[in-house]
Amino acid sequence: MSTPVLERRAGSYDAIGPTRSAVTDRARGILPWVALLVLGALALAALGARSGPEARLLDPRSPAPEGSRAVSEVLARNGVEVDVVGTVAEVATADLSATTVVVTADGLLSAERLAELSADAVDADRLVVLLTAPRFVAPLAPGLAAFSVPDTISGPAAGCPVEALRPGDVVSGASVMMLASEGGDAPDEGSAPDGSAVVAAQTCLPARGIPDGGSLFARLPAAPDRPETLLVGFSPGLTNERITSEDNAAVALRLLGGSENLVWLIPSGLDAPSGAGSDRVSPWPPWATPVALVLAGGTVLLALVRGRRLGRLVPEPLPVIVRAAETTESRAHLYRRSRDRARTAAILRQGTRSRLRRRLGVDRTASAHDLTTAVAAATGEPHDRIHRILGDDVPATNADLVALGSDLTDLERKVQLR
Amino acid sequence: MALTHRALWLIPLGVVAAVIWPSPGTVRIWAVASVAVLALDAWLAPRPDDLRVARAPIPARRLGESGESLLTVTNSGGRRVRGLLRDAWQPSAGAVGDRHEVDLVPRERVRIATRLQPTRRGDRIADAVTIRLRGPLGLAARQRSFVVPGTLRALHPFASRKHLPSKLAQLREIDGRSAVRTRGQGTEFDSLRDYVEGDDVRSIDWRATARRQHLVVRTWQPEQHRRIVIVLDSSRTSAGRVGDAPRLDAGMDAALLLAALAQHARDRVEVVVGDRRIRARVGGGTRGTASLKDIVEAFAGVEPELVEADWPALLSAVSARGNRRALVVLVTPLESAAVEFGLLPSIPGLVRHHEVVVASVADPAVSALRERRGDLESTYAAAAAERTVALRAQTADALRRLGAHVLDADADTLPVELVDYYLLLKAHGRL
Repeated sequence: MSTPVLERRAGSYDAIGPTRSAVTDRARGILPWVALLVLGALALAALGARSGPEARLLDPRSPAPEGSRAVSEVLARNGVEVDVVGTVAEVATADLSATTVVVTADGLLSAERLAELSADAVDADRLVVLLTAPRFVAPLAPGLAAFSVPDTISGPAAGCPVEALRPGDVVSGASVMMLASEGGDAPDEGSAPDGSAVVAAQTCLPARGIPDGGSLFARLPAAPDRPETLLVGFSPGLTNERITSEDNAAVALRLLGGSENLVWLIPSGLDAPSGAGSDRVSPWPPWATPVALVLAGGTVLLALVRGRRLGRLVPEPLPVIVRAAETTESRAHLYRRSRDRARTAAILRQGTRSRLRRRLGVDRTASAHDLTTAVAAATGEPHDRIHRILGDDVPATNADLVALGSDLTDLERKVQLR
Repeated sequence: MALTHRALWLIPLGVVAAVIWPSPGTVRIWAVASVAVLALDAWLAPRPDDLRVARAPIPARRLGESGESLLTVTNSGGRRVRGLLRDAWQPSAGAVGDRHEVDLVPRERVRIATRLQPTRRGDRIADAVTIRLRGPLGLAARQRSFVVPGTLRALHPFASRKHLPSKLAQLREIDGRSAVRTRGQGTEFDSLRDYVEGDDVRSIDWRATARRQHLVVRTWQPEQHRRIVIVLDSSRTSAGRVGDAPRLDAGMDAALLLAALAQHARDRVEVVVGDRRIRARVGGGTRGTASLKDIVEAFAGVEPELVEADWPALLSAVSARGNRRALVVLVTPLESAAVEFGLLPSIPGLVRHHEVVVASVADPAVSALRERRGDLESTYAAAAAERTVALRAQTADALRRLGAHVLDADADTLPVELVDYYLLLKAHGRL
């Protein structure tokens, strides 16, 4: 046994890239972890997907069941210019003459911004507020109390203050009910001036099955600091999914199609309620962020575990590898590219002629005619056919050249089989 | 420092903790605790330097056979060590299963074998031995690499040795040791013996017959101690691959068969391999003939180089040992350009003193290309192959006109053809 050699190799920690077997080894070891990560991501995505589309309720661009593209398409087809905007500021800068402004008042819009919008849209014909939550009512109409209601069909409309709702209209998709905060039941069509507020709201369209009998629709007449404002408490009825039920379609088109232009505000999040004031529930469980952080740390750990090689890579002093037939193949490409049929045919014939000469014992100095005669005698083929094959005619087409090549090998085979 | 797969269990641990106490503080504690545990485990791991590693010398193997790299690992430290050891080799050494689990108590010694199946001829070199020893928790490890020199010499496979028995039988026929004898086989007087029926009457020695009163014939034996020089061209043209191996390897196969046979015929064999310079040289001079083992060893380290052969320099190696008549075998591909400019001018001078054979390895791929017809592409390819064959034939003709004998055969048949020609020369006493 030789003496132990044990010294540290300088640069033994350097590595350049894994060898193939190492790659497969690694892949095999890492696969369960990748699968775990993918499964986790899928689970999180599924979790997210359940709560995701809520945010885009009543989006006039969305063909999803929760979107409202059906309404906006029909309006556009009837000559209403539909313009979709994302922020209150955009509405404020737009030209609002002969315009209905409609806002999807969802979780991405704060009540304060809605009040600002009301002031900014003072030049518009009217402002339609599609309510998804009760909190939007108070800033616009302090005299009205608003409550969430179960999704039901409304009672028949009667004596409504607007054209859009005709007597007997029934809508579905109730979400927010409003009633005068004075505690007065049976909100009638006559204006009920509120003691505490200057706002005079007219309500109609009774919510069905609610003992107190609130209304699903309210109108605030135009004032110096606001346009005519319509509060719609049955906004789910305007979605693609439900627009065709009851009288929803007719009511929606009359509500939104009253002017030449329609500006539809879908809050993009810039007008979202800030931090603590938000009543928007996060779709993520409370442990999502810590777990994500742990998983991020785990990824680093995984990289460290897999990243350290068991020893450096071993380079292979590669030999020169040239296939011997390579020059021949390159020559074939050259012939092909130059399409030199004459030369190709000549080379093929020359090769066959020299082999036939050897085979038939025809002297190298003998004439071509002697060779033709000898081949004809050996094969029994007609003399002029052999003369044509072995002669000097240049093939006119590629097909002729291919045929000549095959004829030459056939001829050789026949002579050999003799 | 290295981490083991067991360290990944810290991830589910952290996830569970984060679900139970969902706050950023939990994550922070988990991160700090993980780093601390891993660092502690690595620090507590035994030191790889405490292992002593020695490698046993590996005997040379023919290419195609497998060898074994044996490491002796001794735990000279005072603690039990557990971990991984990798005996790294060049990829072409074909090491299978070079990772080994080690578990040694103090003073324990273990032998670790890695199977090697070289895929290329030549010296295959061992790289570093890497040792990774785990800490008490098995989460982290210390790792270091050491150079433990080792070489596995993969020799030329000498596939043509299967032809040796039949060629030796032919040699014995000429030699006189066989029962069949005819006059003219060999030219050196060997001995006188009694006539037996079947002997050629022309070989009767009448003078001896008269003296002994019964028929005596002369026997002859082929010349011995003839000089045979095999020159192998390792230049760019011999780098071309025919099948799996470069042409040089096929040429070596032929050279080995000739050398083996010539040794049995008691001829002196010299082998020279080179291109611009001489890469290997065996036999000749005072040492006389080269043994087959020497030749195979000398071939082991030679690879084709991408340079042009310097034939005058290579052939001067032949004449340097005196101009005694020899059989000079030049193993080089018949590439027209390379031969015409390099080799051809040197042939006349060589032929004047020696019997010259040019042996070339033909490429079966070219013949296959030549015979395949039927569409445009293959027809052009056939023409190109036809042209290659014609050029080779021209080159061979030029060499023949200068007086050299030319052999152009596939890698399988070239050794046999070369040896047959040698036997022919021997039988006719032309050496």
